[in-house]
Amino acid sequence: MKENFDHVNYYENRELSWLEFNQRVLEEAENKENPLFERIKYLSIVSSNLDEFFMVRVASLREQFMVGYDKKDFSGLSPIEQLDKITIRTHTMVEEQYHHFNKSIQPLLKKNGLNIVSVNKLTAQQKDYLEEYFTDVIYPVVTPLAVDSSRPFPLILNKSLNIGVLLNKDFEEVFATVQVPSVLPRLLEIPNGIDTRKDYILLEDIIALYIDKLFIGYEVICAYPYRIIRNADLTIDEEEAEDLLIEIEKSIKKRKWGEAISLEMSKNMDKRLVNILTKSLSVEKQDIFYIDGPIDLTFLMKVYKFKGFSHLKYEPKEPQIPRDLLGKEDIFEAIKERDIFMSHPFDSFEPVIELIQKASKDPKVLAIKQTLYRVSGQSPIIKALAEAAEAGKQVTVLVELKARFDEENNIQWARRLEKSGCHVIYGLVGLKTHSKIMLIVRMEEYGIRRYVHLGTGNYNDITAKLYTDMGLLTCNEIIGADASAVFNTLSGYSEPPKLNKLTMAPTSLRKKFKYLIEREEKNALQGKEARIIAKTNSLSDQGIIKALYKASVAGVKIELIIRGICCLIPGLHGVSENIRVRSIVGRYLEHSRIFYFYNNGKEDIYLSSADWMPRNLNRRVELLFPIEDAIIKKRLLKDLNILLRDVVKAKIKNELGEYKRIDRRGKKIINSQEYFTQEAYESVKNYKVDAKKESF
Amino acid sequence: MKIGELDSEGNFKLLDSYRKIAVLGHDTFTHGKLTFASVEKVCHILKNFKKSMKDYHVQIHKAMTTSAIREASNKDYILDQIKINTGLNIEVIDNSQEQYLTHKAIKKSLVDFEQIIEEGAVVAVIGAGSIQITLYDESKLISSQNIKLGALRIREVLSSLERETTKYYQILEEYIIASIEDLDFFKKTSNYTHFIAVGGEISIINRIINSDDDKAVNLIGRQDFEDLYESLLNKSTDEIVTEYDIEDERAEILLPSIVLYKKFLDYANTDKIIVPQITLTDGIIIDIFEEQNISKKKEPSVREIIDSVEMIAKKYHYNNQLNLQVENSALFIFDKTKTLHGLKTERLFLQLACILYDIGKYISIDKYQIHSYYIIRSLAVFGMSKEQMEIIANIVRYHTMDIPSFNDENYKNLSKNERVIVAKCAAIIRLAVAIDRSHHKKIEITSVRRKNKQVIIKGKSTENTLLEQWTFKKKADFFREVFGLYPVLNIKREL
Repeated sequence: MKENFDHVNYYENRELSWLEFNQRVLEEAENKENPLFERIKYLSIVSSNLDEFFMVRVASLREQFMVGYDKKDFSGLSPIEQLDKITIRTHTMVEEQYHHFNKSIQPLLKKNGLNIVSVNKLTAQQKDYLEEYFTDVIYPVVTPLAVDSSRPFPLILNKSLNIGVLLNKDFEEVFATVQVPSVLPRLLEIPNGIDTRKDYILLEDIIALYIDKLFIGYEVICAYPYRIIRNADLTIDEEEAEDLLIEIEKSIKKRKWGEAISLEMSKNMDKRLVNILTKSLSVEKQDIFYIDGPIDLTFLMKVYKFKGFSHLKYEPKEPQIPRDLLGKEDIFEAIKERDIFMSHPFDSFEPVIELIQKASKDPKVLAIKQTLYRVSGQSPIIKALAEAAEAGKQVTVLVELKARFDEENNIQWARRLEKSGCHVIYGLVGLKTHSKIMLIVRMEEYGIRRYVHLGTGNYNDITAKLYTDMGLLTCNEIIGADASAVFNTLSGYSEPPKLNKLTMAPTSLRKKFKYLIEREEKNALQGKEARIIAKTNSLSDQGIIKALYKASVAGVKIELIIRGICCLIPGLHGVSENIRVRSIVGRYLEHSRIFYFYNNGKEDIYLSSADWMPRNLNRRVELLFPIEDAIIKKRLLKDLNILLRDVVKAKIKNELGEYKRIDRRGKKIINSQEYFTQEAYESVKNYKVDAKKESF
Repeated sequence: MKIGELDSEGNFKLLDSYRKIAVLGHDTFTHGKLTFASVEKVCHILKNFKKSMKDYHVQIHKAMTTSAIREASNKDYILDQIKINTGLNIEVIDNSQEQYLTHKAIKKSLVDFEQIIEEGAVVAVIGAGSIQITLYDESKLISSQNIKLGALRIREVLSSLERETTKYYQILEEYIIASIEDLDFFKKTSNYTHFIAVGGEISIINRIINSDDDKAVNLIGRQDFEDLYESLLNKSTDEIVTEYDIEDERAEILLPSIVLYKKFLDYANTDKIIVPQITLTDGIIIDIFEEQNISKKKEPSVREIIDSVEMIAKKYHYNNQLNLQVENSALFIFDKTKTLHGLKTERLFLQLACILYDIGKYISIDKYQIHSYYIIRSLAVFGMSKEQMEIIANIVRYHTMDIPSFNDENYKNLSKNERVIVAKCAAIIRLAVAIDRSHHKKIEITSVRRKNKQVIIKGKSTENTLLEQWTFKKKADFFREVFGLYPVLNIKREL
């Protein structure tokens, strides 16, 4: 019988696989090789990741369950079965996280002069200080809300930290709640008279300490912090949405009211309070997390930014001038000479920003077109685009408003661009525009020339320093024509045309990947060498996984570098013995998407904005672009090789779905991100030395 | 829409192309006019196109429309709406102009076009509403015929039958054969070396057969084509949509199209189909750049028009030798009296009128100029518009003794400017015909000069030219009426 690779044992559930990714982040928090402050950052990321996971993924499964949708996923789990497994996995993960925070991180922080004090350890002096702080600073901004027959249970904001209070009034128990004000710092430094150590106290602890001041005339029985996560998934019917902008604005308002998905409470919380909260918020028992420590560890990100602890962080690294641009004064001229490749954050993202800025002022530039997905708050790109429009250039900006959790931010700058005269387009109905492409049309001496930037990451100067992404600058005519065609499609001015070098999702990217994988399979079956290396953030598309299994069975050697979700299981007998999966979780978030196909010795390399997920291939506008410049190709091949030799931050996935450290014995100790950083530094240094030599 | 530029060497380079579908044919063909919704849709698309023109600082643009708007009864109102909404002046072109531009694009896309037409070629342009078949041999245009039988038209006619028969394709085949077998060239056996096919559906067929191998010009092997033909015949529209990943509307007309192409391929009997990836838009843009260049490139296309008109005239027993004499005389006079008449491009009208002036004799010698008029105005000539043919027909109508009159519908309907052209050309052609009254090519004109109130036409002859001189005098009045100068014929007798 012909194997069709449908068996549920061949697939891992995507939610559970994602949780394993979060576990790897947690392991980085636990990794003693990492500097202490980097570890608390990882700890904070574990928490914010889980928040988003509950708000979106768990909420969605819950909805499916509620409406009676019980279709199993490819790993054979129905929504309720997935929810059960998620509950178990997240509870142990949170336990592990807090165990580590309490037993390891907090003592280390104290040892390093950062002490988070609990209320019962406060000195009389410190209490005086806090009482004053409470009356002067906290009291004016808190709003205690009591619940009784005339006052219904108030709206508790998603992700807000609150204090549940049990009061006694005339022998009757009354519930009240106070939101811990988010405008005040979560950690307050308190004087301790010691030079070598700073004491801090949590804001909710201060409020709890003086809670009776908020309820004069009541007797406070007890007060404990709690926090809820609500359903935040945003679904709007675009077919009916007259103006997407308005719909999203409405939806942001609505989001505050999503159903409660999980409830975090202090592990010591009074049973009466537990009952009141679970009932009022309609939360099930399994959705309650009893927290042994401060609720919501995302505040650790603030701690990470405290001044004076740089010795406990990674040595700061500056993105370097990209190799291809060393010694080049005019970026347009440099691109005209040959394609420019950049590997961020090792290479600086500045040249891309500079290019846009320069284009906005260059009288020869006629038009600038760009997709924007997530940009930073004070984006220099937005500024440059607005200036270009004001200077009379045709500026078309394709803004993706549906970038999750960023809508409010996006709407603001979209309005700003419109005001300046940019032609702002809000994407195609039903499709998120995830592709990263910029096109500059320039009238030069010998006619129109198009400069194109294509990337794997967003046009965001902040994340370009934190994510590993790659970008290409080119004035290749065919790519230029393709880029024009892509924008004509995105603007709705033209039907999707046939592209020559670029491949676009959702129209043809899936087909292209299938073709590329099957070509290796065919070559392997003919006894030729066949190899695939793919680096993506996630792999959860069944079609792709099946194609990879088939290729593996045919004998194609497959190396996958998948940072996050990977539903493919490697090493299965007769299915995936030729596939190896590794995940790199390091200082920078692995974000580049690279696809290598041996192609009978031709060695084709592509970069893309797309992951191997159904959403990327079916519901998003994505681009895949080839790397054809021989020098750049060579460099990318080398980079891929380094990634595959990383034994420090890479973990290998086994056939049980576990990610294991790589046995370093007999291997060169390579940390790929450090390697690339050093390489970027050295190329600039060497260039400077050479330039100096030349000048003598 | 296509946007292009001329590079430093004056070569045309395509920069960008836009394609947006608004189906108008259904409105016009079934209801006779376009709906407001359709016009709105067109305006929306055109506004976006206009915005895109700014991206490249477009200097010159041309907007053209064909049958869907041309045949709409509310055409003028629509064009006005479009003009108000988008600022674009839409030029309505007729079928001959459309074909002329399409052929321009074909020619441009085929590097070895000259060789192809020398060796002989059948060119089939299959549109939604009509087919144009053009034959070339020995570098000459043999024939060009338009048939109102497009793939969409066939589909509409026969769609109700699809549900009633499992042998839909047989009916389709029968219908198509019946519709085209009367065409002239189908009656003769042919021996063409090349078959060139153009149209939306042949592009799809090409994509299916040649998969992603998408060049500017593709070749489809005959065997591949016939294999696909066989397999398509037994497929439903749904199957075609899913199997070949094409849009519903296009799948529906794929079958009638492939049957049409098959018939023409069988006729041409070549082992492959040449498929240039071009559309009318390519022709328009090439035309714009040629106009810009006003270079020698214009010359061969005039030649083509003349070739095709001569081919048509032959059907009406046109005598090449005889008419050539008239043509030479007329053009000689025309060229020598430029300051008098001030015409330029109208020379071609005069030339074509000389070729066609007596084709009415095919019907009857009596009042043949009127028969000629009706034949000429009904001709679809490659590269000539309906309005232009009407002018030529009028020139011919008044080449004898008749004086143009507002009692004549044909003359009354002309614009003022057109009436002037007709009168001037008719005056000249009258003299040219008179000069060869005996059809014996007795006189060779040697010079045309103005002297006071006279235009002296000098010629030489070895024979007695009394008949010609007498006729000339009779026809001279009209010339004087038009130009205010009296023409005199001076023949020097040579022995």
